[in-house]
Amino acid sequence: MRVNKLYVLLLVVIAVGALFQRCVEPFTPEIKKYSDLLVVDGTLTDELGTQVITVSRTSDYSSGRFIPENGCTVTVQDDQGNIFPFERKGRGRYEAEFYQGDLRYGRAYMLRVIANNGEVFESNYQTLTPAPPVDSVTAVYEPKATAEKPEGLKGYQFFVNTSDPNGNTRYYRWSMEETWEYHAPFTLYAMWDGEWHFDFAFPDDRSRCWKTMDVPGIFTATTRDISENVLKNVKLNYVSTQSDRLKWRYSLLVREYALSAEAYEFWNGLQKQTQETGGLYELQPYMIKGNITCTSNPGETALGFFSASGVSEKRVFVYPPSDYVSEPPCVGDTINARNPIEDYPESAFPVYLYEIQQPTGGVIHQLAAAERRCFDCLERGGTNIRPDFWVY
Amino acid sequence: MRITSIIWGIVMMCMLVPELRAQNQDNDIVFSGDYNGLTFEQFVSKVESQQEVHFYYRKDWVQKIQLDHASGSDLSMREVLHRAFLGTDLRFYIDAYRDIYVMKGRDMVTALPDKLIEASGGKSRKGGITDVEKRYLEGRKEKKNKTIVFGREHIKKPNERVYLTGRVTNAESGEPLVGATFYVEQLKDGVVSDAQGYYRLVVPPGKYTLQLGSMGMQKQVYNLQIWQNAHYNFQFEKDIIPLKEVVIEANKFHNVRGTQMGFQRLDVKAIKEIPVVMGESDLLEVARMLPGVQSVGEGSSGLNVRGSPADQNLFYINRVPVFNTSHLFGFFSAFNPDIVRDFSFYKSNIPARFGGRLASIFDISTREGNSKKFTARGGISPITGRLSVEGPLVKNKGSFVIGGRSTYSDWILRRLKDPDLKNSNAGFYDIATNFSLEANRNNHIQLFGYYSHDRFTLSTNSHFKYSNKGGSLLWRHLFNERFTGTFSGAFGEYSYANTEEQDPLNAYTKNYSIGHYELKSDFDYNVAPNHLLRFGLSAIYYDLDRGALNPYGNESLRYYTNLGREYGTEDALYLSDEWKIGANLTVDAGIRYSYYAYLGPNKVRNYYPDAPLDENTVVDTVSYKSGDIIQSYHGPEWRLALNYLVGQNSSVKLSYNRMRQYLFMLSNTVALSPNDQWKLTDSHISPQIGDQFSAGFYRNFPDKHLETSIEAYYKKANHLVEYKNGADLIGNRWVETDVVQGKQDAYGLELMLRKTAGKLNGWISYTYSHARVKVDSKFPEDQINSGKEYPANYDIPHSVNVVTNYRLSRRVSFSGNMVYYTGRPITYPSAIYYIDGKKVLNYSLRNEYRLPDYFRVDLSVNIEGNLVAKKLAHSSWMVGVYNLTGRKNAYSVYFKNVDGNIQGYKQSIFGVPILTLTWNFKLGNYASE
Repeated sequence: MRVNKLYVLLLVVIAVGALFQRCVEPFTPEIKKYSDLLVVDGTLTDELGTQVITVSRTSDYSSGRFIPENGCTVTVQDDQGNIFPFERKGRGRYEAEFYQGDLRYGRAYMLRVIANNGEVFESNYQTLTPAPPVDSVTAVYEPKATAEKPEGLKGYQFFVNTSDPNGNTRYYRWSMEETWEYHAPFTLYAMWDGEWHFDFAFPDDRSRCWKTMDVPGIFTATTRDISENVLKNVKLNYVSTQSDRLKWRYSLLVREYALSAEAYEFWNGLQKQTQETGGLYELQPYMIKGNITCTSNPGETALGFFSASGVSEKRVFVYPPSDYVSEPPCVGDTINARNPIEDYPESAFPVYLYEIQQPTGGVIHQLAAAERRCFDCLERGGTNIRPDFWVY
Repeated sequence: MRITSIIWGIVMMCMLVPELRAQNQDNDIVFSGDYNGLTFEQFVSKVESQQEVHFYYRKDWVQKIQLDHASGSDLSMREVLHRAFLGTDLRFYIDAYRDIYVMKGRDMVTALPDKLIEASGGKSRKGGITDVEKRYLEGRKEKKNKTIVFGREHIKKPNERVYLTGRVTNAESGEPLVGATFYVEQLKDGVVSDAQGYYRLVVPPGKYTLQLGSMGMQKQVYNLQIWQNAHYNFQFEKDIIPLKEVVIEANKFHNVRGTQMGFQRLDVKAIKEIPVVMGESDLLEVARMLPGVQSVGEGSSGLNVRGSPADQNLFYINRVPVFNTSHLFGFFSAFNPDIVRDFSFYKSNIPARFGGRLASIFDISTREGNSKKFTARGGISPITGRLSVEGPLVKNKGSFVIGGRSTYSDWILRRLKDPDLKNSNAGFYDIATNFSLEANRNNHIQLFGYYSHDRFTLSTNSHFKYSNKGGSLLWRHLFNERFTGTFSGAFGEYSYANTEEQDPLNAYTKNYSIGHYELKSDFDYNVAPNHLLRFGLSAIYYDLDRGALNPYGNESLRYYTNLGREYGTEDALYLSDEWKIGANLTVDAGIRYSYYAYLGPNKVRNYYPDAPLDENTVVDTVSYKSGDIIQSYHGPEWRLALNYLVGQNSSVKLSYNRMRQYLFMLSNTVALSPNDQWKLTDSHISPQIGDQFSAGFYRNFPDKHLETSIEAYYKKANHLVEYKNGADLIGNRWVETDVVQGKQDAYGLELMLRKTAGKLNGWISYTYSHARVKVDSKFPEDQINSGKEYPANYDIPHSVNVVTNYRLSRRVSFSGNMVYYTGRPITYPSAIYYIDGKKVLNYSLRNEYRLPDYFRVDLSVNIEGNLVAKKLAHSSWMVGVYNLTGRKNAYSVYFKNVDGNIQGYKQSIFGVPILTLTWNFKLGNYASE
């Protein structure tokens, strides 16, 4: 009987452990059809200088490529009848210079795009409203776990705080640009391309670089439902210790846009649809139509939104956490009698080598080869010119 | 006719042994007259002069006996004598020839069980044998027919009909038996007992063979001689040798003979034998195994019946409407299996007495409790514990049952890996009680109360609480043999409270409640032998509080928004006639007329005509006073069903019905979510009206215990309520600005093969179905899917369910399920594009794709405790494996922007086999009720 009872207990424990254990795995659905539509994307800000409108086409789910639409005629017109023509810059980009007096708060702007097929697409008028300053951007070091990564991550969660006592807008969007410092771990000792070059050196310092990228994801919030125009601790991006962003120093630039109610619906819709959690209590996805319509052919649909928004900015820095931050591995291939440098094929030239540091600190003349990125930080796409804002 | 006669009688009996052994003491004589106050001798002479009966007794034994309670039109000789001899040591025996023997001291043993004599060495054990032993032993004997006679034989007039009415109960517990079948061999016709166990048989006077059957009970065959209207209560003994005939025995000819289509009645035994995920039998889980019933995902609340949304089902438990039928995200149903006796499920032609929802009616009945002794039962599974107690209120006449259930699930959730669930907590409890009293044979009263409560917290900042409560009082009155009335008052209330505190500035708490108060009377009247009229009326009052959004916490800046209260009434009148035309054709035609009024006080907006309803098209807002009728809707609901018998075991049925629905669920998610709200039809949102046509062919193979059916249906409905794309329903006071109405269109074919008895029983069903929705408007913002038709979320073309139960021995049985269905429709992105350098998805046609197909096998073993007859309690173990193959069935597929790339994910709820263990107990032995 005793054995039976133990067995029973075991059964219950197994049952309980397995209960509710949702499992999530990557899945690539087979999507046969795709809808080819024009996409117009642009935010006219209150910043003087170059402003950009992007025109592209949708691509199919499996490729996910960016398909530029290059031959369009793009103009912006304000409610005073001023027309600002945009220049074709290739890669779907259209640019125009704006000068003092061109951009005024309270003035409304609209976009017109004549596409390659001759169809005319227009936005409605959007009023330029100033954005309040960002009160603060904070970073909190905290763990994060999701259904996709149940084992959990460690890193910084960024938050934004803002308020607009003037009540110019109740709808906000943020876009972020991140910059981080990273290092090439090895110091170049020699180069081999069939013969030794002990005097080889890169033209400048390639040990320390900075990389800047747009932060993916869409972030919006509104104070529509609350009595004061204040937002506190709105979640922005999360930076984990699983990339080397936090290895040396990390900086986040937050750009805040003041939106119209209509623009908010658009951006918030996109935000929800790219942050699904797979529950059956989620809204059904649908086509999010922006404010671009085809005036020459009402049957033709275009995606995207043209908005006129004031912008404010805030930059913050974070230092490395005490936890280990991983970085791309650099493993040397030790050169010795059994692995002579002469065995390297020509396709591997040039071979970069460093001197192995002994654990004791002493140097014995032992060389190892490694990939160029382990010597030259530019290889990973950053710049070795220190950005202006990078002050210590 | 004195003592010598007795001896003679015994001698005669000995000579007639083979015949007599077959008789037992169930023979009875029904007679009439007033015998109150007579001495026994006077009684004997009076009865012998009127009836063809002979008494054998000794004068000195009966001198002090006086008759009382012996007057009326259909007295039972057994009852009269039993009462007369109460307090004496006299016994009696009635044989098949209407001879009555009166004896002193002991029963006249006319048929000693052979086994008993052997076992006890030829003499009876001291103290006799227990009931169970007796039934066990008798159960092994071949049974012959008992004879019951009502009235005196006479030459019947043409077209003369007599009525036999009464109630059918379980002999051991006194609980009524529902769906017991009465089949008259000679007429090839029969009836079925109703939800309170009442039956009414209409036949020409004559001699018949009457077969009685009821699920899990011993079959009975009577020689019925009926010459006058009579009332008789039948009792069924439990079938204690369940090797031959197990469960699901009811509706055997009902399937073929009744006009009802798309109808299922399952009792709790069938429900309890199906393996389920949480180790506790679940009524709704079983309902999902029936053809034509789907749900959008496992562990999700809401059923989709024949291509209809989940808000088109009406659940009644003892006439109490239940608005939220799920516990714990839908993994449990709100109905405690220990309390439920059975449920009837209507999905085709819904009887005229029901209305209010388009797709189906679930009519759940609770048990009445044991009217003979106190007993208890309960069980423990990994998630829940339950206990119920029952017993007599007035012995043999009234009983009560009270049952409760609660979870201890918090500790389970805390042990999970999933971060969303780990920080969650959840729990529920429910309690139900039923009192029932059979005041006399014409009046039956039942009082029922129900309360259920759920709470859960998701990831520490989203809290939900909801509860159902209800009560009902039912009085059933027999006016006469041909006319019965049922009067009931019931209420059901559902309420929830939801607190969101993720963002302290936006934190709010919101409450909601709906009340449904109903008065109803139902009559059935056999106006002529071949006409059964059913008619009645009902009045429902709805009181709905859409609640208010209140700021929550000190930091919250959330605006206070009151969403308003609304009131409505729904009144209905119905009449239907079940008309037997000739031997083979039965028509059940009826009409229900419903009238709905949306009542003040309330504020209603007016909008410009010919414009979409939104903020910009408001003309003005009108205030209505209390009692004002703001808007009314009414109309007839036709019900027609036709059954044509083809031979004895086959029939063809056709039906048409129209339904009207005056309230709907505000939900724009795939599955029902706990904060979905019911809403009344109002000035801007019209009632849903649906029509359904069904046709079916039914064939039974009684010798093989097989039932087969094939049913086809087509249905369409107007004014289906859908939501504008991206609508946020939580804080919208003016629902009409977010709602659009469309058309629903569904058809399907359902095949079912069911084995109702034997060691192996169960069913296989296959459903082919098609469900489409179309929401079109001249205003593009009021269209869904650009106004084109699209598959509903619950459009499941192919579905196969296999439910089996195999009884290896009396102590061990196996159950298994197999479920297969086409994956539900899902919207996949049709393209990717870039906005502000970020990858986003474009969705175009709704529900154009499907999830991978669903397949699951479950298995369970039920092991009963020992079969010792005399013991305090009996227990059983159930070991179940859910999802035996461990298949990772897709619950949903979703897309997420991960580090700048769009990644698709497939989510499954149970990707591994799940083992559960449940322990159940009841007081008494294996066979006790």
